[in-house]
Amino acid sequence: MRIGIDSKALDADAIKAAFDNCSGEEIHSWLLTLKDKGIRVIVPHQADGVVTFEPIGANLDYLFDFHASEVMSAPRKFIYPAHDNLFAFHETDNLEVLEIVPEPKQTFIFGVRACDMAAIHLLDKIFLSDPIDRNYSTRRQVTTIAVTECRSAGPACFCSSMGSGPMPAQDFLPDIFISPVDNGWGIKALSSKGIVACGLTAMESSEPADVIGSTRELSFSRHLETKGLPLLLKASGEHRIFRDLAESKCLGCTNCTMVCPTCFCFNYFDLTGIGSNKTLRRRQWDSCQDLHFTDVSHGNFRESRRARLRQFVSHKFSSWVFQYGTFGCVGCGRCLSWCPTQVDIIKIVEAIQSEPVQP
Amino acid sequence: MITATIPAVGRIISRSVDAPGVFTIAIQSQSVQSFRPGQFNMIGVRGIGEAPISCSAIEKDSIYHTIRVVGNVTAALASMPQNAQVTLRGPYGTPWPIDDRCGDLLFVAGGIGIAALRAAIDEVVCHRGRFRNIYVLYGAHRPSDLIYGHEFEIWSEGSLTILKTVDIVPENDQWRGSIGLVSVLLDDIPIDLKQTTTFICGPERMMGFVATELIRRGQDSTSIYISMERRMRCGLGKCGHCMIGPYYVCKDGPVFAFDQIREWQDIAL
Repeated sequence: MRIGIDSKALDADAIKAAFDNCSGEEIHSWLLTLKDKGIRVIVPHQADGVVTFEPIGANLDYLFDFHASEVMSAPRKFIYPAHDNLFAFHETDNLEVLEIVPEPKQTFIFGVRACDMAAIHLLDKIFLSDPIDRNYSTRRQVTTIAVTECRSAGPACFCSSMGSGPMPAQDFLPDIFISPVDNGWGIKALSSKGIVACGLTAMESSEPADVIGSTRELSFSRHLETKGLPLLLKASGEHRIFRDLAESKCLGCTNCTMVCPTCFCFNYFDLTGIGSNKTLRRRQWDSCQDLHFTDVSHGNFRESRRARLRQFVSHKFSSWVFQYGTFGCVGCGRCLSWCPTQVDIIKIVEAIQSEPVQP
Repeated sequence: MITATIPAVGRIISRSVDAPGVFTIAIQSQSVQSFRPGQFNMIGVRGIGEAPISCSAIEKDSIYHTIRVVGNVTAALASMPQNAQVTLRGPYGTPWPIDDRCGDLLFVAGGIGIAALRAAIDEVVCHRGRFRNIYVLYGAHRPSDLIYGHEFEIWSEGSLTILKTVDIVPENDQWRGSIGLVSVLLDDIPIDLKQTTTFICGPERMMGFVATELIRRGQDSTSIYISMERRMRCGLGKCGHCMIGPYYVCKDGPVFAFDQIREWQDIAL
């Protein structure tokens, strides 16, 4: 078991407003105030043994403590939903294309972890790059995200290896950061959206501390050495580990990609109504692990589970770096938590690191 | 650019049959914009979906696409009536890098791949004086699969060296030309591969063996370009379907330098 390294402390310059020593009750009444003002308040919720992010319910229950790897339904779904309507066709003598512009409510997501916040920043690289995805951009703009500091690392967590946690990384800051302090909780607004949300609270503001860092060291039981990984994986396509796991474990079930907070692949499909002159163009999450993802007319370029498993690992730890300048993994551990046969992305990388493919 | 995700609408105003299973349509639309040879449009049929098809030519406000029937969208396009409405998004993708070339050019087309090269050949014929020798090698399965007869007549008047070959000749067919792989046609042309830029389009395996053969015969691998194809949905480098290594075929391709793309996984080159 290794002791993890804290991510760098937040710059004092990042803090725009601070409220220290808030009690749990004050935070609770703040969330209710936001809700009363018509803001959709999303909280971490426990149901059927898993954690999901859902709108705050009538019983006003939510979790403060959980591990990122227990989250089945990540907060990304409020900005990039699994199903979305893009536009509608209406055909009479002329074929009209009617835009469907989303009008999302102001949204406040509470209790997010640093890894999920990093993941949303990573999704920004895809959907806010040219051409900007209007649906994503619209929802992103109305969403304020509050990250709560993790008090412990879960058994599957390895954010410290990926530079995405346990403290929010400097490039992946939330709008609000909430951390346990001596007599309760400290709340720091890090953006103008954060200031607006904090402004709706009755808590007393205070001078921001010079430095925000965690004084506690979290113990991580999983660690990944990332140095040199992009080029190593590029050269390791023939490594036996992909075939071994594809034959003995991987089911091609796509769970990993469904729970991964940085996965972004999607599919379009047309849904035609019974009247048959109206059609909806929908978008929904898709997965490179699906057998049909790379179907072409007379074949399939990634038909084997071996190739698809290789794609998942290579995309997160290699191609992402070439495409977007950063790893596509935030170390949340969910792919391991949700794999029915415990395929472990870290064990795959370690197998490659310990027995490099001979050229 | 025809707007990124929201498609423009056009009408099929003419069609012709080029070969069994291959047809050309002209789509008229207010939104038709010029394209660079090698680019493609996402052509859509309401209720079915969209498919990436190379742009062939533009005439006024109509764009021509030559299409082979291979799936739901292409089958629908093959049978839609006159004036039927389709959707267009594009032009997308990278073009054949002709602008910075001079010297000798070699075009190698396999099957429907000639459709992706047609606009490039049109362009170099238009600027014939910039180039020295231009060769077109074209192979199809059977003689009846060879298309663009009219275009080839025009091209042969532009002092291009054109050679064709087929895999098989059915009984009673009058074909007297070459039979065999398109790469063996290289024996029949006095080409200096060291001075040549090559553009290849056809089935992926074919592009691979032609490029390999050219390198074996002395061509510098950095002067060989191919056009790749993958399942596409968004056409703009976001949905992930067409990824090869770090590249999106729709955005970083479809035209790639052979050297650039050959080192990644899940390809048939």
